[in-house]
Amino acid sequence: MALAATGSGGAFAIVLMFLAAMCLGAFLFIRWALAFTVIACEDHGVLESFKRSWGLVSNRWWRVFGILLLMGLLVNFAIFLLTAPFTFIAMWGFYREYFSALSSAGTGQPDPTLMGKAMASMGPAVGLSMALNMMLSTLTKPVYMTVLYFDLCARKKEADAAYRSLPSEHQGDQPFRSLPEGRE
Amino acid sequence: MEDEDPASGGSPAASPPGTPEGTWERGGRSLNSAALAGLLGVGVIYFYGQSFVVTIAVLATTGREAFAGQTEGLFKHLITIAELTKTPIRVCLIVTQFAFMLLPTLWLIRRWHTADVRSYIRLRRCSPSQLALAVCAIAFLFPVNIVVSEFFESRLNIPEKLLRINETLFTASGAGELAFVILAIAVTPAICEEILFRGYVQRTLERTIGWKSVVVVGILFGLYHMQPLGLLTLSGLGLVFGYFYYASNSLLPGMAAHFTNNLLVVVWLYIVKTDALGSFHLTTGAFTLLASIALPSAALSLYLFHRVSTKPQTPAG
Repeated sequence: MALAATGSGGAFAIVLMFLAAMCLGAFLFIRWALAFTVIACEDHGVLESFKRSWGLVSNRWWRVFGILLLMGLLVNFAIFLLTAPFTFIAMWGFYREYFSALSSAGTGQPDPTLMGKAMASMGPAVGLSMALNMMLSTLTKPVYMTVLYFDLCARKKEADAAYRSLPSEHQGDQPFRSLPEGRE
Repeated sequence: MEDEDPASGGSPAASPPGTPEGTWERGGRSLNSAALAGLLGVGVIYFYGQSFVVTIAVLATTGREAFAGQTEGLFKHLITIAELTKTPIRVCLIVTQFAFMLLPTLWLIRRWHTADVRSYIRLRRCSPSQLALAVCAIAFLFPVNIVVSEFFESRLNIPEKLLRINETLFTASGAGELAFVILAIAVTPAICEEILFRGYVQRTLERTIGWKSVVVVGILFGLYHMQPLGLLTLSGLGLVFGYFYYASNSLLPGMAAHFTNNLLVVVWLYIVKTDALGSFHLTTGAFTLLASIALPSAALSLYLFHRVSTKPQTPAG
């Protein structure tokens, strides 16, 4: 009984620690989310860029969290829609073997080699489909991260400085302006 | 490019004179971006919202049974779960289509484009001949769609039992249930999906890319259903619905066609389930023969629809 209580208490503690670690991870992830964008836009060193990201996100954690969550959902949904047919074509052989295995399981005489064949049928096309998926998400993320970076700079009244720090060929004809006083 | 509005006679305006314009229109922002953002935004709300609601409903209905041991075999277990959950899932389909698809779409149009939502989505009368021809064309395409679907199913060796489990949601076993399934599977999507895809996305894209919007939205309609096996037939149907909308300047022919297509699926499954045809069974070969006759009939219906929808050109254009 005591052993059982100790066991359940231990499990509870592990769950609590896991949840705490998740929360800490999420907190740090959002705080440092802009570090790579800062490196690209301000040409800072690694540690400095993490500090800068920390400062930009301060007092706006929930806002950044909401934007990143929403953008993640939107981008993933769009990529899923675009890549679904390619993935399906790439997985055709796998599905065929899988359903054959399922049919033979239904007859009570499963063929043990079928699942092996199904796994083997996942050839280079699956890799290409995954590469397409990764390529699209890798291309999209910097776009909204950069917009978010300038948005946060503008809210901190630092947009002009951030804009000037960009290489001249990336600056347009019109000067970039921080939000006027009193506007958030 | 974005100043053109071929479908509405060259006028780029979203609202009739005197109607307040929405924020997107006032800002002069890209209409293509509005259509894309609207489609993705409503898609995220709908799919994630529906997944959440359906999961809750399924868990509430089945309790621990969904995760119980499969002592009776995988298929029997799946059949039990499918039978138990079909009614709550149908209710969820109706609720989520209206709440997470239709309402956000109407809100978007009102906020971004115009207060006159009815005009924007072209919810206006059309001629009875257009309606009748749209229904006929889709009815003739039905056997063709069955043949294409069966072709893919047979190529993939999908077990017959698994297909029957998949059809549980759409299959009624009595007259009362049939009416409810028609409401969930035929009436609701004909309203909600047509207003999102044709009334909003196609209408908005039409203002910049004209007839090409029919092709773009038709393909997106197929992708949106997330049914890889049905991608070809659903995209084909999307193209036809889109063409009805484009050619008639009205949402009604597309709605009628969408309703007819889904109704035929539901009624066909009901007939098979209740054995209403008795010993008469249509084999795949018979369906192929039927499809080969029906395809030219569908083409003729589409041609006649095109004829009755083409407006006579005046000297002024």
